[in-house]
Amino acid sequence: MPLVKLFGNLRQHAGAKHLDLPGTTVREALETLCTDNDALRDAIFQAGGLLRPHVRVVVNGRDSELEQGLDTILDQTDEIAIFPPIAGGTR
Amino acid sequence: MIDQRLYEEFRNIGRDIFVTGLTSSHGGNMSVRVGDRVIIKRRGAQFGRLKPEDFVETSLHSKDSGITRASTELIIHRAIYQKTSALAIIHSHPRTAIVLSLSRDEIIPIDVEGSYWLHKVPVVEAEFASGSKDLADLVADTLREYKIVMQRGHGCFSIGQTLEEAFHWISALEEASDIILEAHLLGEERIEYRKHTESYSKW
Amino acid sequence: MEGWAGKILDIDLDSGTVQTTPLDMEMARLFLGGRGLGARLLWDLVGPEVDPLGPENVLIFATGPLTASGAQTSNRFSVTTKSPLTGTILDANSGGWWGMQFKRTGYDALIVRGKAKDPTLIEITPEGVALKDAAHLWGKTVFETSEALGQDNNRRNVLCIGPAGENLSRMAAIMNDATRSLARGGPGAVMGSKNLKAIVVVGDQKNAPEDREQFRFMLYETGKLLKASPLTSQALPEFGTAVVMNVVNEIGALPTRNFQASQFEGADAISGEQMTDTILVRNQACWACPIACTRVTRTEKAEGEGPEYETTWAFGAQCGIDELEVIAEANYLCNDLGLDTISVGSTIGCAMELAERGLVDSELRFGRADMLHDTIRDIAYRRGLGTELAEGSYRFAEAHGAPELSMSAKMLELPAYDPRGMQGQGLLFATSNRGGCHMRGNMLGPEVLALPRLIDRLGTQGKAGIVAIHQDSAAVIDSLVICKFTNMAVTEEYFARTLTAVSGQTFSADDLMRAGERIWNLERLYNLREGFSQADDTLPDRLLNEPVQDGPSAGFTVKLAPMLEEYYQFRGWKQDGVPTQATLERLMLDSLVEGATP
Repeated sequence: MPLVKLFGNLRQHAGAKHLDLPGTTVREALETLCTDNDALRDAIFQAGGLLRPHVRVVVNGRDSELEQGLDTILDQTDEIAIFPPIAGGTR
Repeated sequence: MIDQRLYEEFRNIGRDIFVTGLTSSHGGNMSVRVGDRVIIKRRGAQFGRLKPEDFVETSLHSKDSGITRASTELIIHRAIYQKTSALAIIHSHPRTAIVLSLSRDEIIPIDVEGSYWLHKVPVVEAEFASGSKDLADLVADTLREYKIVMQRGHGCFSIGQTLEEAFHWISALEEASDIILEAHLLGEERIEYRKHTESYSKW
Repeated sequence: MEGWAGKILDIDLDSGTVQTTPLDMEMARLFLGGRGLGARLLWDLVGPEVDPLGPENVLIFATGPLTASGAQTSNRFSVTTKSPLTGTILDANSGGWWGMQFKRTGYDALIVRGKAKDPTLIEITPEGVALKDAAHLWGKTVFETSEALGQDNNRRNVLCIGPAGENLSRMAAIMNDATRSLARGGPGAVMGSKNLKAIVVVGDQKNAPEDREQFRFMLYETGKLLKASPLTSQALPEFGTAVVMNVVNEIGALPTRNFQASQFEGADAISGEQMTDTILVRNQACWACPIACTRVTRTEKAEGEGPEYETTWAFGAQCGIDELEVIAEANYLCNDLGLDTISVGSTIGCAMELAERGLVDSELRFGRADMLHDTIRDIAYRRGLGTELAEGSYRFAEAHGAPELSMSAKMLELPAYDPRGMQGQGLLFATSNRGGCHMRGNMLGPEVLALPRLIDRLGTQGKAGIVAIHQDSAAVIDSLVICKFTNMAVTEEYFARTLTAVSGQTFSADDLMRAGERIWNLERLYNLREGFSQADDTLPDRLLNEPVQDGPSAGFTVKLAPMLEEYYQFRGWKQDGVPTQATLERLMLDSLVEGATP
């Protein structure tokens, strides 16, 4: 089962640093992560099921934006790290 | 010759610009700077359907064979790269912005997003549409102070560190221009909601 | 005062003479202030024949036209000198309150020349400039000295060296306001070599903007951007700079055990999150700063400020140590003794590797948290192994037959990013004018944080242009002088208009970027004159030839050569790394090198 690692203030919202969560794509794993947790969902997603700007999702050390984003397919031993916005603005 | 990732960026941005109505089928051009070379869309290629062979690489400074196939406005792109820190340039024809440029010397957004990103967009004018050194210098000099400029009746030149950034300014400008036009058509007295409004024209 | 005070204070410690000379306003327009002004003055004052620790070297403390104006983060200042660690031009930059107060004394810069016969301190107040005996302070730590001289953040500010500077450690820092540092490259040793213990400032003048209305508008607009950026409005205030520890580790760019690996199993234990959960008391701001990234922390044994990301790395992953309290206390110690945490941590890590390989007779090993504090003290006081370590990792490793194990560029220890996992950062380290340094452009933004947009950190094409522009931009920030964290949300477009409002002279965004490019090229010319060449635009062998073994960056080395070639082209330099005549003319530097370096 893929491992989801949380950083920054996402840890408070999730109540955990690491969670094993089922999912065959990044989107599925994050959906499972945010089930019954509106605060966490709100911190990660914006309207339309898109990631909030500057939330970074890194799969096995590779930024998902350089792969297929939320549709990146996962192996069961993959590690997904989610970082809250630590960048943004005009630059 | 052109890196796959770079081609995809050109292709995606080109498609977005055409599909959102920011240029006509064959109008406008885009380029990036790599070292002391410029990679630019070739003359006559369609914005919305760019292929890898639609790009020309040419020198930033001197004339070489690349210029025969490059966009007619290469001279403007060169001047901009030589005079500013731009790494990407997009020239397109956003129609509402063009309409506004016919009757004013600067476009000042009245909406939140437009004010935030742009503050003010200057309008410059030149006798000939393209290909002249005077226009190239005028546009480049203006872009030393602003990140997007309108050429009266013609279109915009927008710069950034990436194509995406340059696209952002054009999109923001057209949205702001649409809002100005529609507010004008609506004809209702506007409620000023921003602080320091009078300062935007001094940007 | 509108931006510039128009005056430079010039003190000769040999004779005790104090003079005021006018600031050349043409020079000010071209080089702005701070780092730029320092570079321009150093070009005239200190040539290749000067020994960095000899009396002919100078210290140039400089503020910029925005300093003390009240613009966000307008508290910073710089010191320029020739570095005793690298031999290159060195400028180091600090925050807090001293810079603001120095500007309020009515000078743009202070040049200190010569060497005092006995320990001396300089005091600049509304009554005048005085040179006073400091024998009673010699040997005292930074905290003791600051307190003794009446440090009071908003009113009276102390800049001083600690024992490390007095003992001429090449990694010694100059400290201001007790906990802020001018550290990289060892400027503290230069100050110590001059027998100068401290500079105290009390000012009463204002840097009031020429166009108040426009200034207020720019303050408002800049404030909006800082509030809108999650980095400056949330991440930095909440977690401090160590907020990037986990993300750099996750992507496999956290140098571990002297760059033998690029992920550290203890990264989370020393991260910003961990700090906030355990030792953080509160955050704190420098003068006129809305970001407030400083950490005020307390461990079981001590309290103080910091540690920052770099420090947490240097005493953490670099040394294989995962105990945050030990690291925080190491930071307090370096502040008090006056040492550069990056170079010290990196040098200790280097010593650990040499010891493990049997090249150095010492019990130091990776993970020996129990030996960390004593080793730092030994470096400051030049005792035991510290006598050698105080020379910096390169000289130390070379003396033990393994210079290639010093993770440095131009002998300045590399900071907390493994460039095998961030190719653009590798180019940055190799070409930085003061040696291996991330504060001369930092590619963390584009390569990791997607700031402004994400670029592929493992790719090499197109990096040169972005690196060069970041370098120019950093030079602008260092010359205005403001804080680079504002540059993570605000662009030159804004800084130019703020400068225009403060000074009454018109500056465009590109005027500033040209000034940045000019300053970069002048620093390059300085180093070329000192005898540096393209051969020095390089990285340690390990990073060029030993691929990362594990993790997301596995298999990668730094592909420097193609990036360097593109970089020289972009900069308008020849392929031997020397600026062309056309570039010098365009930047108006040609008159400086007439008849000198070709």
